[in-house]
Amino acid sequence: MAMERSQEVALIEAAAAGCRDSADRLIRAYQGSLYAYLLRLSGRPDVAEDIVQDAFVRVLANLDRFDPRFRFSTWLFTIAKRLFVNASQKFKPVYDSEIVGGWDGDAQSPSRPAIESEFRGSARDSIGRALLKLSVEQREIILLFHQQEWPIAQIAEYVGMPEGTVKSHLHRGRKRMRRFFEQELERPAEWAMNEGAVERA
Amino acid sequence: MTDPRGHNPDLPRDGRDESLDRPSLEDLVDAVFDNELPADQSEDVHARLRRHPDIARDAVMTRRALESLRRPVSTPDLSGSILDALDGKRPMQGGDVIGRLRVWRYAAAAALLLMVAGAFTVQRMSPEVTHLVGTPEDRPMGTLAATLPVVTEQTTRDVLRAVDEIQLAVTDATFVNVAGPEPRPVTLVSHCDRVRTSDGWFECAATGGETSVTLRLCDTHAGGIAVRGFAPAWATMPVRSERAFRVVAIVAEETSEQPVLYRVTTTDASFEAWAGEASVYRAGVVSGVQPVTFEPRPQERSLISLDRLPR
Repeated sequence: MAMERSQEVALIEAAAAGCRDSADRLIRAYQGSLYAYLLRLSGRPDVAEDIVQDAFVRVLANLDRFDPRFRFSTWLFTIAKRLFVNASQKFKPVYDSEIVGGWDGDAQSPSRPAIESEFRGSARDSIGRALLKLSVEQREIILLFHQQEWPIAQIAEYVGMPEGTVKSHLHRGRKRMRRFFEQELERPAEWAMNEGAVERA
Repeated sequence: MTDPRGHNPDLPRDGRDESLDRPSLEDLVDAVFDNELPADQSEDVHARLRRHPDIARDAVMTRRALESLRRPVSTPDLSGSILDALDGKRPMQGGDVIGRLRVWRYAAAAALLLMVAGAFTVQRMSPEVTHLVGTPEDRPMGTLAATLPVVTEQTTRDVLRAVDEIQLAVTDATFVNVAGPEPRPVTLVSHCDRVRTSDGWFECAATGGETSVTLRLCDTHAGGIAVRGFAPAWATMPVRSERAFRVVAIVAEETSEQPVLYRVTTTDASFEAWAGEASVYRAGVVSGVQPVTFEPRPQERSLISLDRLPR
């Protein structure tokens, strides 16, 4: 839901003053995009749901610290990303030979947090699997640019990288995804089936 | 195959093999995806892609994948659970409650402003209503009496009672004798809970060839009205602590830009000071001093004077 900046600031001020309705409107304005981002980032609906809830609770509990010169979405997504990183570290490694063995070219190691593997195992749609072929940095930049439609400058601020590096990640990420789809084309039936599944979802 | 003019449509007009342009074409495709290519150049890229079906196929595939990222996903409504979890950390209230609180705040502020404005109006139109006429009378030494500008009769009584009970003691009993040109801080101890103990300063200044000693009484409030002192002059030097002084106090309106003179009474008081006992000025009485009325200059409105009286 697009929201005017002035309207957003007014909602934040009211929510900071303890207005439940304003907090509710803020949640409804951003929960969809945050959930979609985390779902694609993690590949797991349950993880995305938990992080969305936790991120909103933290942000709303500390609204008086919000600096209105910055974007609320950047702050919210930053908190969510930290929670995602923390969550991924809590998962114990799972050595699923079928899952891990099925991935190539991604510098896998058994010590890599198993949430990655778990995410991969649960990602059944092609785009989800293509995303999970990417490094976390590439994945989040692809998502922020193509899914959240953030401008490059905002992404650079969010990930703490120069804009050129962000673009480089973007290009490499897309190239990697293309390569994945080329391989998928060799299995057209599965591709079609998975595409259909995504659309139904 | 060539066209009638001898050009192969799969090759550029200059006959150059465009396979050499593949890297740049891929860069251009990336630029399209980055939304960085102007529309006219995008057209050109599309035209060139027609000559490179493999790159075109990849581009289409990528575009489809990226578009699929923007498809809305079914999002659970988490607002209820988030707000419930938030209640434990930061109590939230409904918008109607917040709105009512805001209205009450505005109403209270408006009422206060009206009261103040009304008080000022009454005071300006009928000063006698709000002035307390004091009667000079002998008081124990160290007691201040004042005529008070007040906005209500009750406040007037409260303030008068408070000022009546002021007991001042100067913590540094030697200050009188060592007064120099620099202000010396003193503490005026109030034994009345309506008037705060306050810090002031004592200074000795030459005015018109004489030396005046001024005891400034700062930040002393009674019933919301500032108690101020005034010092026209105190012209002797050296100051002898055993001299008797008249203590004059006035109450001035703090917020008024121009000095507003309210009735001033004097309390005839005398210091029988410093008979070997530091820090204490014992009370004494000096009678027969006439009340004085004066209009303090703006810069003097916060002064309290100790006027020497003849013994």
